Amino acid sequence: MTNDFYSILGLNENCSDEELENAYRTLKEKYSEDRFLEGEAGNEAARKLTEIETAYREIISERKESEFSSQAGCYSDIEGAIKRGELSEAQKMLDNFNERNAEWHYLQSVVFYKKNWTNESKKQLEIAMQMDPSNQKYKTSYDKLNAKINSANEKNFTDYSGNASPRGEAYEDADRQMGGDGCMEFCCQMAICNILLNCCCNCR
Amino acid sequence: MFGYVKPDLPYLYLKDDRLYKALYCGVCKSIGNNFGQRARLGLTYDIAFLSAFAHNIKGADVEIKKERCVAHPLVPRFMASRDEITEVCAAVNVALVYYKIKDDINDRGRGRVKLAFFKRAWKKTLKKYSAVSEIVERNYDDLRALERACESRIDAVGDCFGNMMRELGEYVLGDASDKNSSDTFYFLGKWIYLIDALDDYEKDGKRGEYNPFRYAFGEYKTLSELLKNHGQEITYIFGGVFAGLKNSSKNLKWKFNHDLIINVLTKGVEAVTLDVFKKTQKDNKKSNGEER
Repeated sequence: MTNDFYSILGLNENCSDEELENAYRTLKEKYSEDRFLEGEAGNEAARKLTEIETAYREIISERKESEFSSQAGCYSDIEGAIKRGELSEAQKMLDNFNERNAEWHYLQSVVFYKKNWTNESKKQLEIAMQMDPSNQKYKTSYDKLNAKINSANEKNFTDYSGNASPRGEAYEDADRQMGGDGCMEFCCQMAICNILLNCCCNCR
Repeated sequence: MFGYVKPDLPYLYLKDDRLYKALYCGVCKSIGNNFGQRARLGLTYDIAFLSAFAHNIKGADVEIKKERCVAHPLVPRFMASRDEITEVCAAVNVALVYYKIKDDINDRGRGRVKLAFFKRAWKKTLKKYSAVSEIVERNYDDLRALERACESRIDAVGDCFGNMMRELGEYVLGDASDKNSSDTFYFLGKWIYLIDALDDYEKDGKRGEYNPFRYAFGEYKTLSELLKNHGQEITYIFGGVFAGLKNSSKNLKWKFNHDLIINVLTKGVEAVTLDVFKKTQKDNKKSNGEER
C-alpha cells in the first residue's frame, strides 16, 4: 500500500522529507491548475489532486508513527535496563539520544534516583514537568520524591536558610526539654570539659 | 574531612560514651602494635564509629578492660580488646590519613613533611591490607578528576566519597555486608564530603580552590550569604542525605544494642550540620550588632 503512495508522488521509499515536500508541492501546483481544464482532463486532474493529498498525508503520518515507535521502543529498552539494575547501561543509552523530550528527562531522573543522586533527580523531574505540564506520572513521582525526604526528616529538620531554631524548640510540646537550650549547651560543655580533662589530667 | 562523624552528646548514654572511648583506645593500640606508633596521631573518633559499626554488624563482641598506654601511662583506662576487625579499622584509618595528606599536597602543595611522617605506617598496611589502599587511591583519583573538571553537580562530586566509604564498608564487613549497610556507608561518605565542603566554603573561596558549592551556587564572600540565597536547595540536598541515612539504617541487621550507632547516624549527623549552619548565624548576629 505504501509503495503505491510513493509511486503516486513519483518518489522512492527512501526519499528524504525535503524531497517529499518538494514533490508534493510541485504536483499539487500542477494539478490545481489543470483542474480548471475543459472536460475529461479537468476531472482527471481533480482525481489526481485528491490522490496526491491522500498519499502525502499517509506517508507523513506513517513516518511520524515509525519515528515515535522507534523512540518509544528505545525508551522501553531503557526502562528495562533500569528495572534490571543496569544503571550504567541505561545511562549510556540515554546519552546516545539526540532528542531530549520530557520523557527523556523523566527517565534520566529515574536513573539519578536509583543512584541516590536525589538533587539531580529532582532537577530532571522539574524539567520534565516544565516540558509536559499535563503529565500526571511526572507530578506523582515528584510528590513521592519530596514526601520521602520530608517524612524522614519531620522532627529535627528546620529551615536552614537563616532561620534555624535551637535544637530544643523543634519538638512537639510534650517532648520539649525543660530548660531548653541551656541544658543542652551545659551538657555539651560538661561533656567537652570531661573529654579535655581526660586527655590532660587522667581524671578517670 | 575528619572529625565530623560524632554522636550528639546530649543524647549519648553514659554506657555508650564508655564504649565509644574504649573502642577508640582499642583502635589506637592496634595502630601502634601493627603499623607503628607515629600513625596513632592520625586517629580520630570517626574510626571508633567504624569499629562500633563493624563489631555490631559482624556480631563480634569486644572485651573492655582497664589498661595503660603510652599516652596515659599512670592511670589505666577502659580499652576494648584488639581483634581482626580492630586491625582492619586501624588499616583503614592509616590509609585514609595518608591519602588525605596526599590530596592536600596536590591541592595546596603543602604537607610533604606530614606525608613522610605517615609513610612508614602506610607501607606496613600494604602487606596485609593493600585492598584498602587501592580503594582509597582509586576513589581519590576519581574525585580529583571531577574537581579538575570543575564539576558543578553536587550529587556527582559527593558520589566519589560516598562510593569510597561504601567500598570500604563492604571490605570491612565482608560477608556481613548487605544493601542496607552499603547504602548507609554511601550516604555517610557523601555527607562527610559535603559538610566538609560547606565548612570550608569561605576558606576555599579565599584560596581559589575547588569547592562544589562555589561551582553549583556561585561565589559569595561568606557562608551566611550563600545560605541566604540558596538555603532551600542546600537544605534539600542535605535532607536527601539524611533521609537516605535514616531509611537505610532502619533495616540494618543488628547483633547488639545499637543506640550508639543510631545516635551518630541520625542525631549526630544532623547536629553537626546544624552547628555548621549555626556558626553562620552567630556571624550574622555579630555583624547586626545583636550579640554583645
